[in-house]
This record gives sequence, C-alpha cells and structure tokens, in this order.
Amino acid sequence: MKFSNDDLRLLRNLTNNLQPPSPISENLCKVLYEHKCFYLLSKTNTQNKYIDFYKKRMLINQIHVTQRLNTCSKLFQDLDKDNIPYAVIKGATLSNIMYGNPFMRFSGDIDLLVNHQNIDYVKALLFENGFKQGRVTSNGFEPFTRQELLFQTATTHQLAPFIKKTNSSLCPYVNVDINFDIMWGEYHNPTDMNFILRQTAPSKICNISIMKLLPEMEFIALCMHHYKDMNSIYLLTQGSLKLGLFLDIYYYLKNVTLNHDILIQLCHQLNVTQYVYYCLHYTDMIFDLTPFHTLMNHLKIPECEKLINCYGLSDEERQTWPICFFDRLFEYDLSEYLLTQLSPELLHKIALNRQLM
Amino acid sequence: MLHLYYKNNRSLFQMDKSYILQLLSNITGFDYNELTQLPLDTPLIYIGFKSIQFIQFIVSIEEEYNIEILDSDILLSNFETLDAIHNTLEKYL
Repeated sequence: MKFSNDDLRLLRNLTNNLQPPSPISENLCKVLYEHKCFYLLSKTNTQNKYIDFYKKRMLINQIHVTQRLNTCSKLFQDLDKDNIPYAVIKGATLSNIMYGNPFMRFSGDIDLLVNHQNIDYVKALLFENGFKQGRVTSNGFEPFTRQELLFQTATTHQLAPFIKKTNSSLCPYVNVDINFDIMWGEYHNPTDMNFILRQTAPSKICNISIMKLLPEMEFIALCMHHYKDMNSIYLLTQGSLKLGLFLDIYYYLKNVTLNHDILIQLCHQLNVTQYVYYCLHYTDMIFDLTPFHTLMNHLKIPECEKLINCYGLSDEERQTWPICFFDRLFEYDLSEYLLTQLSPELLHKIALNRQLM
Repeated sequence: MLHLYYKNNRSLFQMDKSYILQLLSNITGFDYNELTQLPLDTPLIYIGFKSIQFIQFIVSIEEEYNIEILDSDILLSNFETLDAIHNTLEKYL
C-alpha cells in the first residue's frame, strides 16, 4: 500500500492523542492491523472489519496470556527458590509497561532470559514442570529431532521451544522460549549475562509474581530484539519489518521514565549504542522523537552511520538498501526482493533456517 | 535433578583421535592425511567446519559414543580446534 504524508500525519495525531481531522480510513486500519499496531487501533473511534478482527484477537490473546502465566507460575517460583537469576522479557510484560495493558501485544510464548551457564539446570527444571521440546502440528505435539535441537542451540541465542499441554480447550498448549543472550546468533561476542541479570526487580503481571529487567536494561533488550527483526535477512524474508516494532519503541520512551545517563552508560558498557541509536533513528522518522533528540545526540557514535540504511546482522552480511525506508516498510515485498539479491551462501542459510527452525 | 546424560558405560577414553579426524574429513571434505598434519590449535573454520558441519559432527559423535552433549557445551568455541574438541569431550568420560 502507498503510505502518504496524510497517513503519516494521522498516525502522529493518534500517538499524540489528537483527534484526527478526518476518520481513519479502512485502508489505514488494515495497515495498522497488518503491522501489529493494535494499540493505535484501540485509539480510533472507527468501526470496520479490521477493528472487529483486532478486538477478537485481543480477547483470545487475553485468554492465552493468562493461561501461559498461570501455567508458568510454579516454574517462576522454582527459579526463585533455586536462586536462578532470570527475567521474563518481551510479550505481555512489555505490553503492560508500554501500553498499560498486558494483552495489547500478541505473542505466542513466554520468553525467559537466563544465564548461559544455567541453561542445563533451567532445561531440567522445565522438564520437571511438564514441558517438552517440540512443536505443535495438526497431529498434536511432535518432538524435535536431535539435529533440530542442536541447530537452534548452536545458531541462535535460544534453546528450541518448550511446550506444555494444558487442560484448556482455548489455549491447549503453552510455549516457553529460553533466551541466553540479548543479542542474536550472528553476534559472536557473548554478553555479560551476570551483569544483565543483576539489573532485575520483582514484579507482578496478571497477579503472577515474576522477575523483570529494570527499565533501562529492558529498553536495551527491546531495541536489540527489534533491531534483529529489522535487520535479520532470514526474518526479513518472513515479513518481520513491521510498523509495530517502531510503535513499541515510541511508547516505551513515551510511557516509561528512563534515566538517560544510565541508559547511555549501559549502552556503551554493553557495546550496543549503535543498535539502540538505529532503532531511535527510524522511530523518529515515523513518530517524531523530538523530546529525545538530546538523548539521540549522546548516543550518536561513528559506528551508527554504517548501520543506517543497511540490512544484515553481521559485517559480512551487511548490504545497503536500494529502497527508501518508507517504501520498504509499507510497499515492497522484501522477501521477493531479497531472494533475488542474496548470495548462494545466504540463500542456503535461509533454507536451513526454514528447514530446521 | 539434572537428567542423566551419560547413556552407557562405554568410555570416551576409547575415542581415538583417528575417528575424530576421519569424521571431520567426511563432514568437511578436507583430506584426512592433511588433517592429521594440522597443529591442534588450528581453527577448524579454515577446513570448512561451520555451523551445519558442527551439528553433523555432534550428532555423529553422540551416536557413536551414545552420549548426549549438554546444551551449555553446544558452542562453536568449544569445537573450534582439535584441542578444544578434546577438552570439551573429555568431561563426558
């Protein structure tokens, strides 16, 4: 869809709680729905099929999120009892803090961040709590092959997903992902997870006690995750570049008070300044981050320039986009474009990911 | 509480260097005789030992010795040289 300046103005009005000068068109609602901007759909007074779709999905999401948290409640208690540092990241915890509602972001799982040195212990704890590693197919639960398990552990910073069957017909399976780094598989310098997991605090979500990251670290983890979605060649071919990524960043900044000095210091310490800057740069292009320009100036280091207008998660993979930002966000089928541009080696990597993930 | 990962009594002590080298040669296509001449600290990435070969290698080792390598050991850095492979597998004795 062609995204016009008028559409951009409407978007900015919605995020600034201004009454749009004209009703939001069905076409724009379609874009917001497809780009996972459910919070913006909740702010429109319009009625159309996309508003109905989103409302239905919200109800289903509420059931799923609640079921997931209840199913994992004992696991969280066990981790606390055994003094295993962890944090619940992404999904409902972020939705709660960014949008004031745990059900506004749709995700299919609960993500835990743990230290790499504890993954064997956490895996055993998940097995004790009734989880198995596998996928759900039309035939029910199907365990991963050893090769699939190894592929995910070796090439990503996650273990292969853990699944538990529930008694709920509306949410028959709960999925838990174990993350052992905030960076991506192509990033070969391990992050100091002991340091990251010291930046946590107890919290409650849907009345379930959890540990979550402190705001500055949570914002960095959010940016790292979203940077990956914006730049991973494999994920881009799966349609990962969505307006909702930038909306999350915008609302985190808008609704959470961050200590900018701490944020800048953490970014430098973890060597992630350029990735955070990248996320802010493009969020600013869409939603206007003028109140945060001072922060952005402090984060702008020479390494930032080599990421802007590029894709790929490593120096070896990185390529310059020949398509302008708004066109690649709204107009182009990036999968079609990338599959005609990539080297045979990268196409092989994508094929492997599709086969084994 | 950890699961038992050592599935039988066959000791990795029996794991001979020539088996590892033959396996690496089969997986990477690198000549076996040249492989035997490599210093133990040569990065195996130079012989084409990348992520997918790494996975094939672990699957083969696990099947041959009836063991299961812990997730915490599934790091390319633990298998990046012949020395590193030896050090990593040694604890499964």
